[in-house]
Amino acid sequence: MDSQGDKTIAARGRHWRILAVAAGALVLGGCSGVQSALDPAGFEAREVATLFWVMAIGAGVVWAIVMAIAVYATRIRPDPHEEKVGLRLILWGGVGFPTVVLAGLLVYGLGMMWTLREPGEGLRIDISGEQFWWRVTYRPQDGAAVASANEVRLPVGERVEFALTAPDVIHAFWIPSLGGKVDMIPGRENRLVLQAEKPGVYRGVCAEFCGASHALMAFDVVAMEKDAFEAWLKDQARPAAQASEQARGAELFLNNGCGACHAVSGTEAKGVVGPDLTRFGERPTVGAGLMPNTPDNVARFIRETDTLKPRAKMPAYGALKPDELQAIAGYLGSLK
Amino acid sequence: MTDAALASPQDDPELRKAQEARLEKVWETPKGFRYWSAVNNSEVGIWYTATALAFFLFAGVLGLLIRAQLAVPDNDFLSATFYNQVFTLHGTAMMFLFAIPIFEAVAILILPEMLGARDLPFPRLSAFGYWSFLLGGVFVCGSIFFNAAPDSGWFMYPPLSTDHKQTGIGADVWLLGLSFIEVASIAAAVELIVGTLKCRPPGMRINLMPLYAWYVLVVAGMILFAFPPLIAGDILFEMERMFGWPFFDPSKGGDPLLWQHLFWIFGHPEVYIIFLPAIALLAMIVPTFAQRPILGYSWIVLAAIGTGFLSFGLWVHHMFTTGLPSISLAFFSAASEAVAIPTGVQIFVFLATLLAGRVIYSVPMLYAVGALAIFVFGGLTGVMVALAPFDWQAHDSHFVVAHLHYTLIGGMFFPLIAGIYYYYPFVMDRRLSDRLGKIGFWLLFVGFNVTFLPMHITGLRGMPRRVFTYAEGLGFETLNLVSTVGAFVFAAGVLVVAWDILRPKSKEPYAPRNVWNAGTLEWLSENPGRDWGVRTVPIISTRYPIWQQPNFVRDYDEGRFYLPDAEEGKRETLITSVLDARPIQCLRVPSNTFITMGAAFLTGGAFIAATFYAWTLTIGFSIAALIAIVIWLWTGTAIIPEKKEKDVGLGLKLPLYVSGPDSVGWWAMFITMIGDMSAFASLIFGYFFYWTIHASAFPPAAGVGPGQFWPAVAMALVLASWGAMLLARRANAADSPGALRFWLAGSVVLAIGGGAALLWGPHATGLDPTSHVYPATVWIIAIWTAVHLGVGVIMTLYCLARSVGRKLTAEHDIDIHNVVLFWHFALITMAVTVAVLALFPLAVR
Amino acid sequence: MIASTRANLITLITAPTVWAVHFLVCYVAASVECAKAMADARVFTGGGWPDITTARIVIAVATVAALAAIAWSSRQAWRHWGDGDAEPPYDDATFDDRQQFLGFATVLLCGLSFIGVIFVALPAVFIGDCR
Repeated sequence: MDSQGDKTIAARGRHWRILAVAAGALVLGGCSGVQSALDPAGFEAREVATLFWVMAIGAGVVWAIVMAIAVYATRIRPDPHEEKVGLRLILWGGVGFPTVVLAGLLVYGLGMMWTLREPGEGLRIDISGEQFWWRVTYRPQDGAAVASANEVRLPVGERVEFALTAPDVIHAFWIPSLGGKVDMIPGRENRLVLQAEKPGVYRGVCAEFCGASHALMAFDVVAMEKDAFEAWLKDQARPAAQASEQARGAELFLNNGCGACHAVSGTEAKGVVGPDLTRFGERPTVGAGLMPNTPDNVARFIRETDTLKPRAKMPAYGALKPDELQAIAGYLGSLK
Repeated sequence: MTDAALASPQDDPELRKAQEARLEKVWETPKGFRYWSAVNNSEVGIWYTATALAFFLFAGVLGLLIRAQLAVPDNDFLSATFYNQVFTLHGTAMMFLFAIPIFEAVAILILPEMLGARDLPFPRLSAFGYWSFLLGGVFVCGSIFFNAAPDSGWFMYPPLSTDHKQTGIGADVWLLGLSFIEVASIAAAVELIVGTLKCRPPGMRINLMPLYAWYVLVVAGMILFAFPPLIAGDILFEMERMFGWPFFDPSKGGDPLLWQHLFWIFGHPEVYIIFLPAIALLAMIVPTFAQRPILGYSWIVLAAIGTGFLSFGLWVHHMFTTGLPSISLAFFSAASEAVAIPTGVQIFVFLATLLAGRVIYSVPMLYAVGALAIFVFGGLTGVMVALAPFDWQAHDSHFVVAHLHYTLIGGMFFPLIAGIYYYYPFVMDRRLSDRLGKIGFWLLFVGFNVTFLPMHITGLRGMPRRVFTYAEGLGFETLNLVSTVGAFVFAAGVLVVAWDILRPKSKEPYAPRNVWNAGTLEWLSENPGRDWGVRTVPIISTRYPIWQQPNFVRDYDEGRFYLPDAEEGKRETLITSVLDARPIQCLRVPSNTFITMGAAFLTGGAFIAATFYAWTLTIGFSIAALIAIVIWLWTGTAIIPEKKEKDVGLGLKLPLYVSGPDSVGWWAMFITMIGDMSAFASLIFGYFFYWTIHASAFPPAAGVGPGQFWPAVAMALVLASWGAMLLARRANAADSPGALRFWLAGSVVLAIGGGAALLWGPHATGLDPTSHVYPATVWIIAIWTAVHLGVGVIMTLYCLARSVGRKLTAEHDIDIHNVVLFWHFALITMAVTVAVLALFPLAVR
Repeated sequence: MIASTRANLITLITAPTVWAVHFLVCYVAASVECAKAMADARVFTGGGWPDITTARIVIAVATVAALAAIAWSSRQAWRHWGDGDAEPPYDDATFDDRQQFLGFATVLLCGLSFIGVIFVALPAVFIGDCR
């Protein structure tokens, strides 16, 4: 038992070191990204990331102390200590220390709950989570509502208020780079306020399980400088550009009934069941964050909707000929 | 004190041999196919444990499928729809078919002998629970082989899961299969509470109880308050799925959030229901290997009870992102932080005991320290997610997957394996292999951390839970691949431990008696074990009798305590008082039978038939199950003994038949009804929940609703019915069977009238339960109460039949006392129902 | 709450039961006030949030009452414990040890419940509306 025990101690030591190195590498190398809460680009996310690091370091220290006591008591000095030592350990380690630390954390957290839910500053964006895409409606204080889908643009430096709903099942709206998530619950309207701090392109996802294609329900987030955003929003009132070279695609789009579900402003396509496609060509991705928005991918999405996105409401148009698909894809890509 | 019994008859070895032979015969495990008729705790406990571990392996394979699918981005190993079944069933099976049942299984297995009892007070109830669990579990798990498993997550959030187009029969399988198992769990909880309070050995005052028993008491109490809300939720859910009652449909006034509340009122205490029994095993292991009594016994009691209470104030921390007001979330955030205090105390008690003892390092201790390392880490991330702002980021991400596996595997799985290595010689007479135990440990420990440590980062980098795939280029690839490799290393560890448990050992020597030199009663058992459980029910005056009471083992072996014999050929154990364990009864416990298995399968049949909406079959099975249960009760409970008293040894005479608050049956009824009331309270909570979310539609304007007249009539009739029951009890006490039967019959008539009047109210006022959530809620509460009246009528008729059959008399009156107790609760249910349905609308209008 | 010269399982769980009741009162008061203020008004209103003054008063009163009840329970338990003189581990098979054990465990539970009540009351100090 003894020699074996020594070996186990050595093995344990090695094991801890390997773990520590691996964990360190993962932590340092693994924070950046367009969808990372540890690479914050907004006020809410930054506050929470700081909180996380403080708590993580504190937790690491507490863990190390507890384990040190355990290893000391079982392996280093297994002989009896005085009972008084043990009882003091229970009193201070089990009650005193945790009570003080937890009370401090709680007060800090309560303060954060207050500040992170301060009301917005005017711009409101309605988001409706649908199976399995995002309906987006901008409601500027002055000006008409603007319909969009699967892409959220917001100005940097402003507290933007999101009104979150869902018509079918529960979804959750989460842009890790900007802040925490809020559920979208049928019959309720939830609010979320986010303030982007760095211009850039980020990625949001659905965080509540919502059915077969829950994993395939993402969206693009574009944080823009305030002026650029206002100009962009104003420009949205203009109907979609109609390039004459895309006339065949536009015709196929309407003839195949796409307009029954999708809307393209300024055309006969006025459907409201599916995503609004008026500015589809501007969006970075197709299929709610599924693939980059290239003509080939758009054609593929129309042809294989059911396999690319299980149980999506849109039927697959597998019967369309390749050139027809390309024409429709070209038309959609031109909508800017 | 036993040394003083100088001229004891136990001095005669011949007599002892004869006693042992009689005990052996009475408690003998049946052979052949009759083996399955056994109801004794040692057989049922082993089946229960083995079955729960089998479900663990099954759910583990599902876990590996999840990890295989997520190994690389855009993987097509599993389809989206099948993956959703896999992760749903993984969570469901791990929770409902492994983590909770294993507590009941292990407790049934070791608690009686730890308390020096020959069995728990209701062995047939344990057997019923086991067969229900087996059938329900196989039904739920089997569904995946027909591509019909539940697929909307183990939390089953509506409206996704109430939508027939999106979720097929799987949702019904989940609801009905698990409801059936939940009922069995509540039965086990009742059994364990009564067992702990009433079956302790003489002298084992409440301050001498083994810590395991304290935990069992707390956990079983928690089950009584945690499971019924889920059963209430299941009822609402099935009414919506089967009949379109819109409890969770916002277009008709319902709200999906009510389900989340009811589910998590169950779901969070449930985490502690899983965790505390495993910690309880450590509370037995740590003193043994520190070779000293636990240091801080009272602190453990504080921790167990404190955790039990606080755990009911945590449920909304699963709903931090539902958009509820910050102030509501904050209470739960506060309680979630506070619960870390008793949890910490528990851990520091173990550390203090280890410090103060002379520690022997062994395989169980290895697992215990591993558990500590993992659990403390999970507890610390728990403190993090308890802060709502952090949870808004972490919630439903892989961070939470990592956190929950750290708490459950560290807080439950590792302690359980420690317990298996510790208790294996007690149960199976031989030791497990130290070598395999250590290999298994390191595979499990390393595999676990490699799987789940990176997942914290995966989650914070933005990967949500319950996704069947993820895109390339988001930084999830390496982390996921590492996790998958770790999962397979962990699985290898499981295989090593499983092999150690299952490998044939008949050629190995028996383990020496009390192989770890422990101090508690269960280690009195010999290897090979004897069917009688305990040779004699000992007198206890210390917490660790084997260590602290002189000549204890010798006296025990020579039968120098209570009940050393089975003169009448009956299975017997002692019943004692709650606080001081004074002997008050010699309880005859029922023996082997197939009727409980039959009753369980027929009950299960009713649930399964309902899954397929086969109503005729459902009703047929229900009636058959009722008949089986009545036969079971008639032949197996409240048996009139051949004599009043019995000499249980050491000159003590105890009654064989007691009724009312002294009897175990009365306690079981009382405890069951506490659970029943918490289900009812959940329905009432639903009513008021709908009231808060509607400005005026709930309850609607005057004129809509059950009115006041019929509810008032119902109340008056039920009050009269209850009064008739009191008079019946008095008539029985006065030995007047004619009056008894008159009042019983009167009570039946009045109760039927009361139930009918209660249902007539919403019917006469034309409330259509499918039109809006208000009528649906009124109906469900009225039906709940009417069903209770129906059950009361059946019980009253049973008393009538017992009286006619001369089994209920002035002297032998268990049945009437228990049924009157039921009626007290039925009356409360009725009064609350009428107050809520008929009076509350008047108050708020 | 049952005054008793003898400690038992009911006196043992008095303090955590008080905690549970206090918790429920706080939660119900705040939730009902917010839910009623926002019920059927689930359209976006913009601007401020309804305040929770009534709930905060209820919570303040409930907190004082709960702390008083716990203090009362702990005073009784202190006596059961032998006025704090009895040394652990209370493991004799005597009435006194049983009494002292239950008294001491009750005192501990009172301490935990006291902390718990204060924790649960803190949100009402820092959060003043239904945001």
